[in-house]
Amino acid sequence: MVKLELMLNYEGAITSTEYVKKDFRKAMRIIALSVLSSAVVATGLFFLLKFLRSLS
Amino acid sequence: MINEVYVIKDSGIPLFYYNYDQLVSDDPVSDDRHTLEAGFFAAIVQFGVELANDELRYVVFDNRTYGIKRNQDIYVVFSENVQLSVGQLEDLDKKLSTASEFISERFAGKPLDIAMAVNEEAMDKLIGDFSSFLVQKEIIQEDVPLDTGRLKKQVRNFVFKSVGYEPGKCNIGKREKMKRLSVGLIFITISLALFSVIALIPSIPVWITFFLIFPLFMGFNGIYQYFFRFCVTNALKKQYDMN
Repeated sequence: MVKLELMLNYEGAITSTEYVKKDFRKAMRIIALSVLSSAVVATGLFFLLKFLRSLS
Repeated sequence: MINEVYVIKDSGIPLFYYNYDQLVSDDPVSDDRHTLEAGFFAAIVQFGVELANDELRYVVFDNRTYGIKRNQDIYVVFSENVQLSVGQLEDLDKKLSTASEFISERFAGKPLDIAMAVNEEAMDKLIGDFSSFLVQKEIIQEDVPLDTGRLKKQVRNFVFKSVGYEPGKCNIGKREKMKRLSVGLIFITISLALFSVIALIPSIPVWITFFLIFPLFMGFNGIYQYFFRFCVTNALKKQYDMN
């Protein structure tokens, strides 16, 4: 008899519409947060540089 | 009549679950309980082997009897909501053997990487086939139609819980988290290095700083993915990677 060796894969596709939607919403939130954070930091760096240039 | 059916991998991962009471109940218990129960059975069977070098066949509670059949690394567990007599236990044993043989035949000669999380088609087939088999052999009751959709959802939840995937919460494992943290930190470093270059060369206009939004985005994205244990690309590709 073939040894029963069920493999549990730790990666795979998601076909459940409900789960796909949940994941999509979370992904959008992370993207939005990243855009916001990078915009805030870039603006901060812009003003910092402007200030530094004004000193010299 | 059998009230509960489990097929469990020796690691405690449930592969199939059926509960008559839950099917007819308006207030089903959490899926967590079934996952815990599967782990409990796998643990006590292995404990029995370690302790007495023998197979644990039954678990008897005041109002419930569980029969366990081990076939290599797969356990089939049936339960009835009563204490059973010796004759009834023999009958339970026969049913267990039949189901266990079915499971063996189902997998014999197959690559056996049913990989339920990856191949939901295979998972659906297993659940469908085994459910039909149980009904056909009159092991489970037919008066309540077997809700295969719900059953599949439960099993899918089992597998997802076992590997740690939580929809909308966590879709990457430790290794993948670390990769994203590394990428994030690299891009933040690149952003700071570029900022230093812009600051040190006065001929570069100040507004160029706004271009740093791109490496900064990559940096923050990586760091947020690390902290939230969630990969944006995987989510958009409808995948998960718990490695």
